Amino acid sequence: MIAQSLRVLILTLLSLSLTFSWAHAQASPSVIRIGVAAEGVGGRPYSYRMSLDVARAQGLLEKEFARSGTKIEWHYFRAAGPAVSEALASHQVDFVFHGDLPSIIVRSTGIKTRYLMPLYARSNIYVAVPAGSQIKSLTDLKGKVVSNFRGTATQLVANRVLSSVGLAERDMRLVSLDTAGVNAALATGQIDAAFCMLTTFGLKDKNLIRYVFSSNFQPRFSAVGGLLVTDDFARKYPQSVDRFVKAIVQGAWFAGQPQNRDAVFDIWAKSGVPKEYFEREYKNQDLKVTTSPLVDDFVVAKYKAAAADALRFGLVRKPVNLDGWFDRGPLNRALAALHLEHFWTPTDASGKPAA
Amino acid sequence: MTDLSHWADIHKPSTGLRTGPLPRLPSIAVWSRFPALTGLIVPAALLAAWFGVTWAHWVPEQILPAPAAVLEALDGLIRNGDLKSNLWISLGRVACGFGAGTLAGLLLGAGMGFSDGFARFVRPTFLVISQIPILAWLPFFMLLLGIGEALKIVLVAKAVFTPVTLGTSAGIRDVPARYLELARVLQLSKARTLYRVVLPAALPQLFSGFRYGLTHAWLALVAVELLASYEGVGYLLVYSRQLFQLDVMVAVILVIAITGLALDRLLSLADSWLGRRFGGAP
Repeated sequence: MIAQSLRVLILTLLSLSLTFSWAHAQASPSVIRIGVAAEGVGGRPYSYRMSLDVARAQGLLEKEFARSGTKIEWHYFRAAGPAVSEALASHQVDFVFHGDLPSIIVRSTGIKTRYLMPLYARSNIYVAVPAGSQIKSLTDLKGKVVSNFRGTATQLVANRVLSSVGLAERDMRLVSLDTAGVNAALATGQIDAAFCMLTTFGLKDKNLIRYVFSSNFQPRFSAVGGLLVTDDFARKYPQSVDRFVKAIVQGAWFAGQPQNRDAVFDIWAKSGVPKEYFEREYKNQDLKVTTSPLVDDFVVAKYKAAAADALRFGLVRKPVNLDGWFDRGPLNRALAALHLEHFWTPTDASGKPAA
Repeated sequence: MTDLSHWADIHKPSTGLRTGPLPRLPSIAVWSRFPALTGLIVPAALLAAWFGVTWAHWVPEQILPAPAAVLEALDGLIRNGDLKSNLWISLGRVACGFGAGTLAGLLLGAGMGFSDGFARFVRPTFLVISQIPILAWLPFFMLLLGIGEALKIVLVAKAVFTPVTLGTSAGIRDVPARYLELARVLQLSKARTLYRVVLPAALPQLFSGFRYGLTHAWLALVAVELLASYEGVGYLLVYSRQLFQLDVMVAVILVIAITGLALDRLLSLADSWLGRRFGGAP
């Protein structure tokens, strides 16, 4: 009698533990692979300007997933957006940071992802020319050899900038160069002009280049970059998606507090871009705005504009439908759990604080 | 990039490059009657596999687009003129680079073929330069020449230069001594000896050099266009990759393959035409 009940007990326990371990396996994967469409100077596995960078530097994801034994793998892609899209297509990554244009391109190919939150919501772009150049303004770019990082969010921004003065890509000879390539090509005068970012400040300081245009964080030219998760992963591990988003929101919260401004620049400087460049670039910018995680009207409008512009500029060949792509669930739950529902101010489609 | 193993014969001057026509497949009636078809078996099988794999969705379309999609993309490239303009640009670069590389290769090869002393003098340097792949030259030449046309043409010329030099020197050195003796006996002038004796005898190896040169020229060009370019077929390839248009990408790969094949056939036709014209023997 006792023996029998003991056997029943053991069997029950065994099956229970099996059930639990199965459920546990389903609740959190053994590894989460993150693809970042960026890279630091000289290939450093760090990026900048994002809330994600804060989460990475503070090990927020690693801490969040330590208790379930989930390993976090970071992959930084020098070839940026296009390479991350390929990694998505071949199921090499679960979460990605993608700029708006590559996100739209990925969606146009039928790869299934969900949009979780923006990682940066404002960006700045410059048009640089060698110091001795005759080029004075954007309209002078006509017929010139101009570099741009094709397939990344910058390409879309450049197209917007060009079209604001009635020009298009076909009016110039566009060379695709990555961030490191731009500096070399500008310094040696191999290109007439470049669409570039703050990473060219060093050349400017040495008086090797001039800027003929800066978008000054104007919302209409700005790109946005966001966090995407594969549909597969989100269906299999919904709780892990919630925990992931929560960790990044914590990073954004840190970045958004004025007293942390200096610490955030220190974190971004891990990428190899001098801290001083961030101080200059973000002089008149509130990091709370530039790293806001809210999927607000501005962000949605930006992606809709990205889809429309990508089609207009011939970067995708058919209209891209964004319905059902934005998944605000994980973000809203994270904001509630962290009591941060009112920390950020939503902005309207034009980028102004919503009334 | 430059595979010198084909040119091992330079060190053993008595063997020619040409090994004669390839042995045919065992004479199954059809194949022996239509030898051209034999070469189509493998491509047809690959095409069928491609159809099958994409039709059954074994490979997602985001990795391997279906043949129909590629055909459509190719049609699009032809219609919007992108293919024509970029192909012309690439072919123009190949023509310039091939011309320059062939000229340089002919001169150096002739020097090395006619004069053993000269060959001893330059061969070590030449071989060292030949061993450096095109892509290893690229960063250096980019600094030197920028990323414009000069870079492409110089690199293509460099790719052509090695095989043409080797083919020319080997071809000239392998002209049988008795032919030259005969020319002396007949008291042919130097120019006549060159034109009637040396050239016909060296022609097969010369043309092998040209053919390798042209193949290498095409490969080098596409490689250079992949890295720094705003036009050309290599550029089309990168462009489509960066915008994740895989159907366009595969279409461009096919165009690159077919163009390379066509260039090779063209030279092979020229080879046999010249062979007939000169009759092969003095």
